[in-house]
Amino acid sequence: MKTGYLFLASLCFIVACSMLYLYSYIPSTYLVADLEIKKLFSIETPLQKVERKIEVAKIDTIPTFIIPKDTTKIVYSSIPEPILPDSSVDDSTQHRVLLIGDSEAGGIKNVLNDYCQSNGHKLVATVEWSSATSLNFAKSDTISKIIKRYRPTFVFVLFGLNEVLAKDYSTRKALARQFQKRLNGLPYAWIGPTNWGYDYVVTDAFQAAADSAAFFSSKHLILPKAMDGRHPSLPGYRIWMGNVANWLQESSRWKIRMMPPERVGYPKKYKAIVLNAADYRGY
Amino acid sequence: MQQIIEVIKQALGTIPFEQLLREFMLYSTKQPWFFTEFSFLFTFGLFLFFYAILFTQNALRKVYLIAFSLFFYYKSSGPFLGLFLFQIIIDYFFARKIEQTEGSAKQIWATIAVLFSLSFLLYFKYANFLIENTNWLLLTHFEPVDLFLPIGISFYTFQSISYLVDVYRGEIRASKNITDYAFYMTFFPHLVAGPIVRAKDFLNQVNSPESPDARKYKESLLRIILGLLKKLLIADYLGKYVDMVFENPSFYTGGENLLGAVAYSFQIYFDFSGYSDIAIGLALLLGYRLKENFDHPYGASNVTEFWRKWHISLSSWLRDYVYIPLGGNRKGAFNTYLFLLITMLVGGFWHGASWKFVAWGAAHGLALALHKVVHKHLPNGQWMNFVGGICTFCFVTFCWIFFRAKDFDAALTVLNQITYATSELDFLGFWFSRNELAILLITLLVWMLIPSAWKKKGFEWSYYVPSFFWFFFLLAALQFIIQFRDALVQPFIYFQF
Repeated sequence: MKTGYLFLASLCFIVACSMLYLYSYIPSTYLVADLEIKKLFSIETPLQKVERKIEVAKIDTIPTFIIPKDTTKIVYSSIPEPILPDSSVDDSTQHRVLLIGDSEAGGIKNVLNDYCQSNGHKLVATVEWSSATSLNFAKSDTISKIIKRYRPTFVFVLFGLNEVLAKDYSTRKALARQFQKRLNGLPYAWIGPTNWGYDYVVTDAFQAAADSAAFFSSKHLILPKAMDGRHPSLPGYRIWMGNVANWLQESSRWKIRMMPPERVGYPKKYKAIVLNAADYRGY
Repeated sequence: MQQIIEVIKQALGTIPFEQLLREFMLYSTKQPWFFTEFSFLFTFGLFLFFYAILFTQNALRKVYLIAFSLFFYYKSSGPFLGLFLFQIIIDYFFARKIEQTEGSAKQIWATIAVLFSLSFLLYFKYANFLIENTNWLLLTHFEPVDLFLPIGISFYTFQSISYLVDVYRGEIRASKNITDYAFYMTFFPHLVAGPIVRAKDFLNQVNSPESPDARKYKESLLRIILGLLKKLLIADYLGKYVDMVFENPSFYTGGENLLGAVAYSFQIYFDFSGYSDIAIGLALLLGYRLKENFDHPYGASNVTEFWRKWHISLSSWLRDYVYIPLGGNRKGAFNTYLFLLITMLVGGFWHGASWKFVAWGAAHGLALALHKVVHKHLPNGQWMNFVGGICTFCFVTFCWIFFRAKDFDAALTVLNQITYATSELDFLGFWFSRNELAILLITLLVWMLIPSAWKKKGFEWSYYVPSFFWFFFLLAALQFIIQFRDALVQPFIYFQF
């Protein structure tokens, strides 16, 4: 037929566009080789009613750190003197390191990269899931799939800043536990969120859920802030990592070599996975 | 199967049909139609279905296609549809009058017709340029006019001028059927950003389109898919970096400015050639052949060859309607070089009302003149072609800096950074901090070196794939685009002209 191919072409365009359009209206998200099949557009879903009242314990409302009115009087923490690795640390072990966390993970990743490369480890990938909380990390299959894909031998975990004002201890603990199971027995270092004055239950809940010796509480650190007033500045991240590195070599459950790097700005060879909980909640 | 039906029912239940219909019918300045809009692609599919039904009914087919083209122009340019229609009608009658008259009257009518066509272009595009320069020169304080440039005006104005001049020269007969002329002018694949189609190449196809066979079907889909990928993946991705650098060139190192310029060379090529590919593919599907607009221009070994391969429809228009009427190469060597310079100045000015475009045109004009002087003394051979190709690419990239920078000063800042603030560490830093972009640029540079014959042969292999499977190619390409595209799609660069 003279026009057979015209009809065929027409059907190609109509069916292809319709399929992509309809897919955008399907609530579920599908993955292929750990990659989400993106939709043509996102549909705004109406806010769901909260049906269950969350029971919270009465919490002492005294802030953990009082920010002085005159900020010039703040005494920040400093990078401690490096502690030589414990004898149980095998200097020759080279780990494939995976960093998982929220936006603070995004800030610390380059500093961690310097530490890893200087100590013979390989930072294979980082997951920076902005605005995410323990709910995203616990419920999402994405983290499991990333772990399966990148086969780390050591995992750094760093989230909690987005829930420092939460007061539901038992829920946070349950979610943290659920997340910890996704690590599948891998050695890890779980770093608590930084301390900006209020941290009601988050650090304690995470510490209780994680292996307490594998959890580094950051509450005692006073770090210089970035312009946004929430995250540490780059020197802040260096101070933070310096403290974490000492703890890793001296008293963490799984010790790895983490001497201070010889220089800064090592080449960035890791895969940076950036997610935003506003667009992608993961479950 | 049951699950799929449930999902479709659920999806259909949530689609706001009324809102979609309203958005579809009305023009929106925020969402003008481009070929890369999914709403356009879906609508084109529907249009094509009824086009196939009407294909053998010549009169109905033409009217249907004109109506869709006008609707497409309305969705792209809104209220300027009226102006466009007005110009088409007046130009049609002008052409008839030119053909009917002889001698000086013919000349007068032709001049009036061309000036009429040009007047709209000059007003919308150059009025504020004239006002600014008058204020600067004469220290006056005229207020600029609040104007919005109708999309495609530069292209369809040149198209109508070529028609009028061809009728005047007796190269073609004036169309006696206004439908045919309207079809030629409004044909939507080339309407808003070229290629500039000559009446002598197109009018004889209007009443006898080729019905697509398997080969044409695959070729057209391949062109459309390639065009979408070139524009939405490569060009838009490069555009992100280019925008950053050219916005504030002094914030970036010399190496980054240099790589920004190289990235822009590729961005403009993939953006424009991608658009041309889509236009040619759509036209082929509808049964019409448009001429190629690009022929691997960055493989050219000299500037003259570059202009035979870059934006071919514009360069041939400038040759036929500016360079040759001035005298071409028939009035001595000095005049040849002068006419080349004038032609390229016109070409530069056509791109935009700014001295930076004039500078760009002047640079190319001087290069063409220089090549005319020296080309006989240059040695031949493959190595010479290779070296010439590198030099031509460098020169063209240098000129693109003026084309892309927001003004003359910004272009000079870029050049200043490249000259005085470049070090090897810039490239190392670029490799590590923008690894994907670095790999893409290297890939594109290597791609440039591959002979065009090999590339064509490579694409020929795809025609062995059965017709049915091309649906999956299209679906995969569209999903690929959704997967990796920028949320803010850059408009086609040549839309602004």
